[in-house]
Amino acid sequence: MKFWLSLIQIIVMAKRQIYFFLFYFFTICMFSQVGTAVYVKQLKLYESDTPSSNDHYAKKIVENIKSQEFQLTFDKHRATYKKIKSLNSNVSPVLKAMIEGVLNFKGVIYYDNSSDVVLHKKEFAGENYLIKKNKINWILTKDTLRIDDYICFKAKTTVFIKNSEGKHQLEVVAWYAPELPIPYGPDGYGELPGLILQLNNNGIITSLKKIEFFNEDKEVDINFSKKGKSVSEDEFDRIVSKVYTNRKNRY
Amino acid sequence: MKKKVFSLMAMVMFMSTSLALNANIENKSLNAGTCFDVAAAAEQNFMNDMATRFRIIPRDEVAYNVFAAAYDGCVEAGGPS
Repeated sequence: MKFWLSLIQIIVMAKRQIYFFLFYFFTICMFSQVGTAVYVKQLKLYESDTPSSNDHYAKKIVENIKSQEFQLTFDKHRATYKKIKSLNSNVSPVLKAMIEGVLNFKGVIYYDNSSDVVLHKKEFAGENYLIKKNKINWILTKDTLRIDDYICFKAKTTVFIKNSEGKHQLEVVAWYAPELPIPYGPDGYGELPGLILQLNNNGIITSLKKIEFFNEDKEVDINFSKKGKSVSEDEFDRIVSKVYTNRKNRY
Repeated sequence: MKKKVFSLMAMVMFMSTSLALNANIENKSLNAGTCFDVAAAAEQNFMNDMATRFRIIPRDEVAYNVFAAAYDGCVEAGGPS
């Protein structure tokens, strides 16, 4: 009898905590983690008033960037991210290479949440590579931003870009929604306590356009071919640097 | 084929004019005679545009892809001249 009274007393005292726990438990359990998210990209800055006849091509690049869409397909354990809209067939290979360069993304990303691995498959100089992405050291902040119906929190990380002119440091900012407990995002970014709804990376803003959830038992296409030369990010950078420097001999 | 040559040359020409390069340098690079020069000019112009107009830090990978596409286009079109 004494035991039951004590238990009731504890329950009454911890009522708020229990409600919170139950709410959290049901949110996680009920939340469907199967679905697709579509992202679009835009330039953060575009100096359109630079007087030159090059405007024609710059405008073409900007127009094509706006028309591109990328899809994240996810379930509880895995996800893939790739471009879903191809460029018009009348776009020349040179313009295509330029657009892909500005888009800052090429290939397919594969997220394996259970083994904590992110792979980026892409073609470079006639060879397919399977690049194992480095772990991201996010700094989580308390800054918030409302994107559509979701309250997003800001996370930032520092990345380095090495090119022929040297090593450049830049900050990547992600806005993630804890209400959507999906640890993925665009362009291989993720590992946050919520889906990334917006990513600011190297002059490009990648934003969520739409998201769709399916029943848990629905099978979504997360097939990913692991064919390609397996390399780390650093190894891939070294390969690119070597091929780029030696292009005079190659051509 | 002539249309392709014109298209590629016009593109490089358009891009060249956006740079601080003056017309003489531009003509020199276009008339240099090799597809390597045409591709190198296209690459350089685009990389400059990325940095100045789009404010993007260019990667060597992108530079190489633009160079390779411009080179292949030039060769396919029968060369720069």
